[in-house]
Amino acid sequence: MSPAISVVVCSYNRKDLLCEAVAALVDQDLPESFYEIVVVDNNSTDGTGDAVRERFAGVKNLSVVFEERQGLSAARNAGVRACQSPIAAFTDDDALVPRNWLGRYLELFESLDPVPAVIGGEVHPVFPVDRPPWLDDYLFLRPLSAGLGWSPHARYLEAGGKEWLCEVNCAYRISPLLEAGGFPEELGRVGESLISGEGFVNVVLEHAGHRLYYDPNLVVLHRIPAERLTRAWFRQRMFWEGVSQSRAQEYLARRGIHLARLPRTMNIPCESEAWVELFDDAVDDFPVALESFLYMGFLLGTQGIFAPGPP
Amino acid sequence: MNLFETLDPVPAIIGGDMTPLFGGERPPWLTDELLRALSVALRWSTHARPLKPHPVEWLCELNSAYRIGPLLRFGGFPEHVGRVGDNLLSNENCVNRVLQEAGYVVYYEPKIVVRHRVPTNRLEQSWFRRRAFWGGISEAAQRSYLLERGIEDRIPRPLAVPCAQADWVRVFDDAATESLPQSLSSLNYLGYLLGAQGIIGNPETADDYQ
Repeated sequence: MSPAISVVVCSYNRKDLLCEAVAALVDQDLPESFYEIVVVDNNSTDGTGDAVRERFAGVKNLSVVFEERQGLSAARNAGVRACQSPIAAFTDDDALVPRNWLGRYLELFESLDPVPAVIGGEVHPVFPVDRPPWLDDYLFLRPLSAGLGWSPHARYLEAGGKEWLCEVNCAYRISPLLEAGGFPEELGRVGESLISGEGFVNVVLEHAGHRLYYDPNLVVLHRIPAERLTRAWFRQRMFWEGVSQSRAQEYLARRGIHLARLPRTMNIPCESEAWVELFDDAVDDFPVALESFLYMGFLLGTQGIFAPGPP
Repeated sequence: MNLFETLDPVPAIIGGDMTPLFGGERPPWLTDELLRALSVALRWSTHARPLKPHPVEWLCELNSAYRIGPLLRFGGFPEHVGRVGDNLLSNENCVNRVLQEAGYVVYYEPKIVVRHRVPTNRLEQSWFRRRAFWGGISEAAQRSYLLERGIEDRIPRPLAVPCAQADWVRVFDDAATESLPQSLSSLNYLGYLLGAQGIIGNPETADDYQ
């Protein structure tokens, strides 16, 4: 019997965290034959594949796939190709899902009309240390992929890119996902900096008439590493988010989609001293400074500053 | 060969100049000042002389000679300064500054000339913008390399700082040739800031699987 739902989890050199995440996937309240776990070893060098096979040797519904090309999109696409069910759920190697997670996804896909192409849930951050006082709810949204909070009840998302889902807690119907070209691999890498952008396929799906659905009761716990709780990390993250959005703009334009949500404003100061202040942890308005980094990354990305090859 | 044998004090490095061989027609906006970014036409002086400290004046790697003793004594060419992701930055010659600080002479002889090809893609303003930006990142890397050796390098100062969105559009506008030097200086400064602050070129913080 083929499984009804699959879950794909990709990992690179984090076998210990990964095994914790997989343990929560093994411990689902669905019967083993109803679902499968696909672990994608994204060219790890720490023996990730063997560690998973060894620890979960007795688990029949688990397989390990190796993907040489690095980047989350390439890894997730490899996972999707290995799925034997029509639905692929995704979580990350540093996240923990509840026992009813896959069962709830399955129930939603079976009961909703119209059936969404993508369903996503909520993400609760797990802090290794105290949450710093400057880290307010607003700042969670994009940089930390946590705390969407679109509504207290489950509903379809508004179309047009004003609302989105988190890649650490979502599930796709595989057939529309593949029709939309899978996760965009061309967004995944700029030099040594791996940028995100897997979720931009959702815009393509919406454009093709599919619905996205949000259920705040589907919660995963997502570890936030201590090094992300610095303002320096947020500046870097927002800059590369901007670069990522410039790539997304090209990716969407190739599909005839022109998105209005892309960054349009900037707050770059006029004095070079004030530029330096942008990088200062004590800057007056940190969210505004972050918008500047987002815009800078977007602008430089759009202008081909990160084109391949040496300048 | 002759210069190393006759000059007193004997320089640690001697370099010459480069005549450009253009792969296409030289565009009108490509001023003599900008040629140096293409590793051609340094033209520091018409006569041979010691150079001011790098990076005020510099030599190009494709036409230079080192005394191996001093070069090796100061660690050779810096292997870890030269690369940010897929972008190869040219930082080999920041060892020149280390040698200058140690009291060595870096000597320029304009009569030693090599011809250097300039590929067509470098005759576009977009190439100069990328070069200016990545050059700034490169300067940030050089600065930390020099600081590790107790040498305080200058911080680049921009000629102009774009602030309104329209100013930024002009930075990338091929038609705004009169402000090209300011635009390149702004991009150079932005690259320097982003490099110095670890936003670009710090692979340990590569961001994925979040």
